[in-house]
Amino acid sequence: MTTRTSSAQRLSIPSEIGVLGAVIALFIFFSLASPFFFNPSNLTNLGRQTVLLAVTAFAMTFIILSGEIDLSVGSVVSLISIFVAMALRDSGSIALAVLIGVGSGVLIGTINGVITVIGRVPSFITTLGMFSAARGIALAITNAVAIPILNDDYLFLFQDARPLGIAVSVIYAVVLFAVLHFLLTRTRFGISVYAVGGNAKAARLSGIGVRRVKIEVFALAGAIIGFAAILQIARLGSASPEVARNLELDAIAAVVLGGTSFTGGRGSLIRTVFGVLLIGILNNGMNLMNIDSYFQFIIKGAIIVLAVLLDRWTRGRSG
Amino acid sequence: MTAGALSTPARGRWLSPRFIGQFGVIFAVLLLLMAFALVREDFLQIFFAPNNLANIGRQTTLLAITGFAMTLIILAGEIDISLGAIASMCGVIIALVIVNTGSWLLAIPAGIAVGALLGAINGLITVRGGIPSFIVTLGTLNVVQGAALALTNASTITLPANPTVNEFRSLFARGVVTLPFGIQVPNPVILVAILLIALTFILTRTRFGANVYAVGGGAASARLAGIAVGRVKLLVFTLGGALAAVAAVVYTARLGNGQPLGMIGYELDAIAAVVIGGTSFTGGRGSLWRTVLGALLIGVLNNALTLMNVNFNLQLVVRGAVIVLAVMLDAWTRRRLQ
Repeated sequence: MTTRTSSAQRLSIPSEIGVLGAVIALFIFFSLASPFFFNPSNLTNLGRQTVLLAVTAFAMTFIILSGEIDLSVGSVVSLISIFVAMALRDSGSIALAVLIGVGSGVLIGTINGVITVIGRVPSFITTLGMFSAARGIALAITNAVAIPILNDDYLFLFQDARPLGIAVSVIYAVVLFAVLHFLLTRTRFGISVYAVGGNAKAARLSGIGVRRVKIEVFALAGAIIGFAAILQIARLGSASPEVARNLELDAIAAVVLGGTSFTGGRGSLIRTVFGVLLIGILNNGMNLMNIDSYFQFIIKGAIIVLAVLLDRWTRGRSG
Repeated sequence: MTAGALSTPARGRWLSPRFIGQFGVIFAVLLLLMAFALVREDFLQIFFAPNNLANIGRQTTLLAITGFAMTLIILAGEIDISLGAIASMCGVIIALVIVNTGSWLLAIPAGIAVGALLGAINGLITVRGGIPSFIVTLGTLNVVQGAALALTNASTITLPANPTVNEFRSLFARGVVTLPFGIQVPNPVILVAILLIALTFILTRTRFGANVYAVGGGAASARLAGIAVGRVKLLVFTLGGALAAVAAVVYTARLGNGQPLGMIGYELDAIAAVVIGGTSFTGGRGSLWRTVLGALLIGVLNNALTLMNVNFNLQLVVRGAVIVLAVMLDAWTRRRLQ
C-alpha cells in the first residue's frame, strides 16, 4: 500500500509543477510590478487574508476528492461564527466557544452527509438547501445584526499573536494542513476517500463502506469549516450573518485551480495550497496595483477557465 | 391483464409511488394552504383575491423563465451557474440600447443575441475543452459579472419615462390580458404560457428534443446511437442563454432599469425550481411543466409565508427544507418504481 501511494505521488509531481510555476511567476511579477508587494507587512497581510480560503478549501478538497460537492460552505461559516460568538459572549469561555464551533460544524456536515447518502439526494441539491437554510437561520437568530467579539484573549489566541514573527492564523493553517495531509495520504480513511471518489462501485466491491466514508468526509469537512469560522470572527472582530457569501465558489475554484479533479478520486491537499496561493496572491497583487474590482472579476474568471483548460490539455498530451 | 394488476386495490393506486411522484408537489402546496387556513381565518380570502393571485403570477414568471433555461441544460446533463450573471448582463444591454436608441424593438433582439452568444461560449468551452460545466460557468460567471460592472461603471441604467418605454414596460410587465368571465391575466404570465408550449413542442416533438433527453440520459450511448452529443449540448447552452435574456426583458420592463448584478442568484433559485418540480438533477428525465410547478410552489410558498407574516429569513429556511424534501421524495418514488 505504502509503495503504491508513494510511487503515485512521484508520478503526480510533474503536473503539480505547472501550478507551482504559475504561483512563483505571479509572485515575482507582483514583486516587480508593485513596490508594496514584497515587504513583511504585506506578506503578513496576504497570509491572513488567505487563511480563511485555505482552510475552507481544505474541507472542499476532501469533499470533491470523495466525488461530492458542498455549496453551503459560506452560509455555514456564517452560521457557525454566530454560534461561536454567542457562546463566547454568554459564557466567556474560549474552550466552550471552540468546542461549539467545531461541534456544530460536525453536526451540520453530518446532516449534509446523511441526507446525501441515506436520502439519496445529489450533494449539490442537499447543500443548496443547506445554503439557503443556514443563511436564513443565521439572519433570523441575529436579526441581521453583527455580534462583536470583545474577548481580548480570544482575539490574541486566533488573530493577534505572532509567535516567531508569523501571524498565528497562518500557523494554524499550516498545522491543519500537516494533519489533514497525513490523514489523506497515510491512513486507511484517506485511501478510501480516493477510492470512493475514483470509482464508488469498485470501492464497494473491494469492501469499502462507501456510505460511511462519504458521511465521515462531510462530518470532517464540517469540523474544518467550524474551525474556519473560529478564525474568521477573530480576524473580522465580529460575527455577521452577512459574511462569507460566495466563499464556497472561491474554495471550489482554488481546489480545481490546483488541479484536483472536479469529478473526484484524483488530486491532493498540496495542489489545493497552490490553488489557494494563486488566488490569494492574485487578489492581493491586483488590489495593490489598484486594478478596478470589475476587471479583477474578469481576470479571476478567465484564469479559472484557462487554468483548467491548460490542465486538461497537458494531461491529454501526457496520456 | 394479469392477476397481479387486478389485485391492486384502488386505494393503492391513488397512493402509489407513481401518482405521488407525478402530483406530490401539487398536494404539498394544497396541504400547506389548508394548514395556513386553519391558523388564520381569513387566509384563503386574502390568498385567493384576484390581486394576490396576479401578484404570485408576476413574481413567478422570472423564476419560471430562468427555470426553463435551466431545465433544458439540466435535462442535457449539464449545469449553468452563470445564468444569473448572463441575465443581468442582458438586462444592462437591453437598458443601454433603449436609452441610446429609444427603440425597444431593437433592444430585445440585441439582448437575446448577447444571451445566446454568452450561452454558446459556455457550451463551446464545456464541449470542446472537456471541462465540467460547473467549473466553466463558475469562471464565466466572474467574467460576465465583471464585464457588466465595467460596462455600467457599477451603476443602474434607468430607462427614461416616455411613451415608447411605457409601451415596453406595459407589454412585458404591467399589462394584463382580459379573458372571458373578466379574468385578468398579467402579460408576463401569457409569455410564460407561450414559452412553455413552444419549448415543450421542441422537447417532445422534434428530433433535437429527443436528442436532449438521450444525451442527458447517457452521453456514451447517445453517441453510439449516432447523436452529435457536442452539438446538442452546444445548442442547449445557447438556447439557455437566449432564455435568460428573455427573463431579462421581463425584469427590465418590471423595474424600469438595468442593474449589473440585478439577477445574480436567480440561477440557484432556478435550479431549486427545476428539482422541486421533479426533473432529475443528473439529466435525461423531466419536463418543463414540472419546472412551472416548482416555480409556482416557491412563489406560492413565499407569498403565503409573507401573508402569514413569517419573517423573510425564516422563508429561506423553509425554502431550503422544501428543496431537499422534494428531491428525497422523488428519489423515494423512483426506488419504489424500480
